[in-house]
Amino acid sequence: MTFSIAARDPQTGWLGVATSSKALSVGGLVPYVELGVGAIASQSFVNPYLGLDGLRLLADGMPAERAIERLIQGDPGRDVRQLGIVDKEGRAAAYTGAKCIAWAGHQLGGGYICLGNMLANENVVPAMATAFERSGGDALYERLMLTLEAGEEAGGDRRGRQGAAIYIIGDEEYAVCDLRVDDHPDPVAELRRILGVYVREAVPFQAVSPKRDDFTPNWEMVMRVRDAMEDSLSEKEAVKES
Amino acid sequence: MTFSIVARDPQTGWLGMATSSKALAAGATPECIKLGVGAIASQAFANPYLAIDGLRLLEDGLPAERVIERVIESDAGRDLRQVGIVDHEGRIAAYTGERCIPWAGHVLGGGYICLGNILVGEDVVKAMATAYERSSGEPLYERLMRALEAGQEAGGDRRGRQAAGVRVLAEEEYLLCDLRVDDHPDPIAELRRILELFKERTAQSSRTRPRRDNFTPDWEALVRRRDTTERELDDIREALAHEGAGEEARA
Repeated sequence: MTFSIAARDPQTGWLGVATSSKALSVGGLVPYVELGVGAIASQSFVNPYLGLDGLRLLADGMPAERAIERLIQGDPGRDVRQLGIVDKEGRAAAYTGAKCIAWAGHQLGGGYICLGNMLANENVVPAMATAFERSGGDALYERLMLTLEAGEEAGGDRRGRQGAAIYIIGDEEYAVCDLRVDDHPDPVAELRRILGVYVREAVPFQAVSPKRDDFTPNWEMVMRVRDAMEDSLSEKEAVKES
Repeated sequence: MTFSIVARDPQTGWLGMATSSKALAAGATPECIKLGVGAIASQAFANPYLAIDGLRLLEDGLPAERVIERVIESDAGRDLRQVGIVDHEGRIAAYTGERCIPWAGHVLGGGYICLGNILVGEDVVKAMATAYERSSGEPLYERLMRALEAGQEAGGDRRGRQAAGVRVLAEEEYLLCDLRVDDHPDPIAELRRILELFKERTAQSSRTRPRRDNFTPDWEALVRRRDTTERELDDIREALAHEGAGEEARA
């Protein structure tokens, strides 16, 4: 059904999930991430409450390993669930239910977990892990993207392709990167294209993004952008009218 | 920059919002809708904390109108912000900062708000409101979609088009409907295409969807679906292996 990674970047402490699947809007189903808490991928026959409750358990201070045990204990549908958790310290844990459709499994690494089910073969998840390991030093969004690309390259989902997504919480309570491809014949390639747009159009504005302790950083720059935008719109419309 | 609708469906109590904009991934910000609390759109030169903090204030029992006052007071950038709030009982409030780029403003309705900035004119939000009103009786995601379509039809964003999204929270703590188009030349038409796929999926899976009080409703149906999927995949693999063997034999 799905191949995903949940990871914590050791340099920045950023937390993220990336996923791809033959499932509509997979980016709305799999990732659960919260600032200072952890990152969870909940998949296979998804129970979203494992993601929601998992974040609460992590927020209460429970380590990833214990949180998985508790969640799985509480779900009679456990045999068809799959979960990967990375907590804010970078501790990782995973669970693959016995009745997840083959190939299904996971691979734990330092501060990350790659997991998948209904995959084309047993090489998809290890290929993802290798790509993540090799990209140390790159921005987390780039590392997650390379991981998805490696999974796709190794065969990906047995059933085909449809959706992909990257979701990252950086230094603030809202996502620093939240990109989705909900329905596309080549979703991982399309996500790579959109990531390029993000780097060009969104990353330059991070210097003016509101922060918890300062809602108006670099405010003069924001006002300049605002005024330039208004002027250029008025000019364009005047040209059109004449 | 953006036109949006935030609404509570009076028949079902569902909460939802839809948005479109000439801005990458404008349908994002999942933190702004919560079961039993409300939904908040924060836009223009957006401050996501107005939605995050606003939901907490709503949860503490502050009425929508007071929540807007409080979050706007807290933000030195208020002149460039735009906020719309619907609480879980359908009470609404909205704010449009005075330096938002024209046309900018909002329309308040019964249990919903249409709001936008950098629009071609006021007609955009009025058309959205009319489309929402007229589609009463349809599921909330359909009503929100029609509001977006009407807004685009009326001219939409002065700067062009890029992204759209629709989101509905129904009876559970997770979103029933969460659809996005992040970067597309005709995002609202693309969102409509995806919404039709969603309707097919939701019809199939509505009875087996986990609930807060029962994680495995109609479990036999789900297990049957699992087994069928597995069999189909195995059949395909065998067929492929057979074909491969045939080719080898010929070679």
